[in-house]
Amino acid sequence: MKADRRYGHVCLAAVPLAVLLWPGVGWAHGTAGKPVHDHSQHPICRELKVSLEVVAVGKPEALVLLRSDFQRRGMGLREGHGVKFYVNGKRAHVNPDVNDGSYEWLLDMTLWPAAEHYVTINVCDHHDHIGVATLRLKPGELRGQAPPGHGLFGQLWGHGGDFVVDGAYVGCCGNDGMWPDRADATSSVGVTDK
Amino acid sequence: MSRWVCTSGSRRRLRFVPVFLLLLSGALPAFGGAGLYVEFFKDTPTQWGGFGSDPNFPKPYYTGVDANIDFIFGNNVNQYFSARWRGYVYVPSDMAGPIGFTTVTDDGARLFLDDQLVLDFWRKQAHQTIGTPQDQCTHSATVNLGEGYHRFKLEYFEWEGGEGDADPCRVCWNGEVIPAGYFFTEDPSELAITEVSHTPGLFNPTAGESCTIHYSLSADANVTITLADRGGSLVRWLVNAAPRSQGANSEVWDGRDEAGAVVPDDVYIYTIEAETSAGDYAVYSPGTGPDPGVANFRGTSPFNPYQGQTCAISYNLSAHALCRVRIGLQNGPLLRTLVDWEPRWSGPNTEVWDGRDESGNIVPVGMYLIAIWADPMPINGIVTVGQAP
Repeated sequence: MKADRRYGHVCLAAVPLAVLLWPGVGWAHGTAGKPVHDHSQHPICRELKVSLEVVAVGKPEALVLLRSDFQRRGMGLREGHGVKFYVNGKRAHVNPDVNDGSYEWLLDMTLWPAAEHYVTINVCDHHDHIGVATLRLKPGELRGQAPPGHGLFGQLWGHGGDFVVDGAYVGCCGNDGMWPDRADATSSVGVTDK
Repeated sequence: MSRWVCTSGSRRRLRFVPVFLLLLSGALPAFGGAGLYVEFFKDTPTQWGGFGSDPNFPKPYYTGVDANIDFIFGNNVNQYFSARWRGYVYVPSDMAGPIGFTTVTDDGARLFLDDQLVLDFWRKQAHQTIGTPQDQCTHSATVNLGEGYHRFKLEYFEWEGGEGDADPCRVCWNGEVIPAGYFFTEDPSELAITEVSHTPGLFNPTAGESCTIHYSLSADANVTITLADRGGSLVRWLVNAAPRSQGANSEVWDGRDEAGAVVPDDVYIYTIEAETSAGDYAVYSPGTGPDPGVANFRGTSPFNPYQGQTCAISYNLSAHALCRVRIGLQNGPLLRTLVDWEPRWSGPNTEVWDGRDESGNIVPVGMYLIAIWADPMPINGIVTVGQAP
């Protein structure tokens, strides 16, 4: 059950070693509505580090094979990862069960406008630690290998593209809106080019 | 007519203020010394005397040290609360023997001496009767105590009050308020590590700066001080079973680990242990401070990173904290973690966002959500800087 991976629940089981070693610190301040696990007290509770690159471009050139490598995996080494791709801020692909240190996804941009698109990957370790990487892609201006016979090109192309897991729980970086959960304060800022 | 000598009781207006801030101001108060530890709790009208029955305040909203117990709580704010004082009372030789202890409280009180309940009036009682034949608030008991330190605890609650409704809370012996100077947070005859502080709270070892840990011992002892990282892993033995004298002592940390390398920027926690030749043992390891509150969290908006403008994200912390600041799209991806559980000081703070994501790309035009998390800082945490990449 993905729900078992909810933030806080797994943390309770996963961290006690550090807490036991340092009994004065680590547990909960107990504020209503806040998690019972103090991320700040554990070195492993840091954001993940990931990268994102185009590893191959198919025919037509809007078929793009993306690859993400996970350099700092946090609790993902034990719990696995959730992966989410966004294109222009919209969720495009989800895989809640990634156990390797890298991930590939075939992005089909054939029907997309020729404008530049903003592709983002969020990788979580199901413990509210998230790795982020982005790319700016413009169909028609992509450079890469011809269809390389890569497994994903053959496997997914012709099967309607990728598999999107709508509504599946993907830990802390999974469902839309999870990353700011339980914040002590939020606000909004505008970015302009004017 | 009141028979109490103490007619000028101090008046305390209880407020929901982060008095804990004093604990983190860099000069920590003594964890042993003159006075009594005190905790104030918020209750509900129906669960009076509940020591935190108000679900919004499950923990004490005020803690500190009081010189003695001689208070008048008298305004609309001071109602539906309970309080607990604890520590030691010193009985001098000329008072040893039967001592008349008296409480004068509106409302209820329970007095414990050497863990024995000697006065138990845990009920609503009105101060208007004080000094009259129907006095509901004045209660006395005679207790036989020898010279020396005796464990002391007073529990008290106030139900309803109002402006002009003076609610006393006093503890007297032999007809007078027990004066300041007779109460102690710890038994000085036992080994205690007190008056612990460290200065500065933040320092740069690379620049040759150091941090001094101050502490006081109630007796000669062998002292061990260790520094650990957030995960509890040992970073440095500052002193190891080193003989130290009774009274004030201090040790200096140069910000280096056991191998002599400057430690990475972070918060490091020290623990002080002391043991006398007779085997008495004491440890100082206080844990975390108060929950930091975040106020006025906002960023300059809009800003144009395409022309080199940056966004100043400002906020106020009510206590030192370990913070995380994230930026992303509402109902969309996280794009940048600006601060990843790094120490921040109480008061105003500012983070600068250059409009770029984790990969260095300037984010598209639009509205972005910024979010902050603030966790309490360890009271015995020392912050080092200067090693950031």
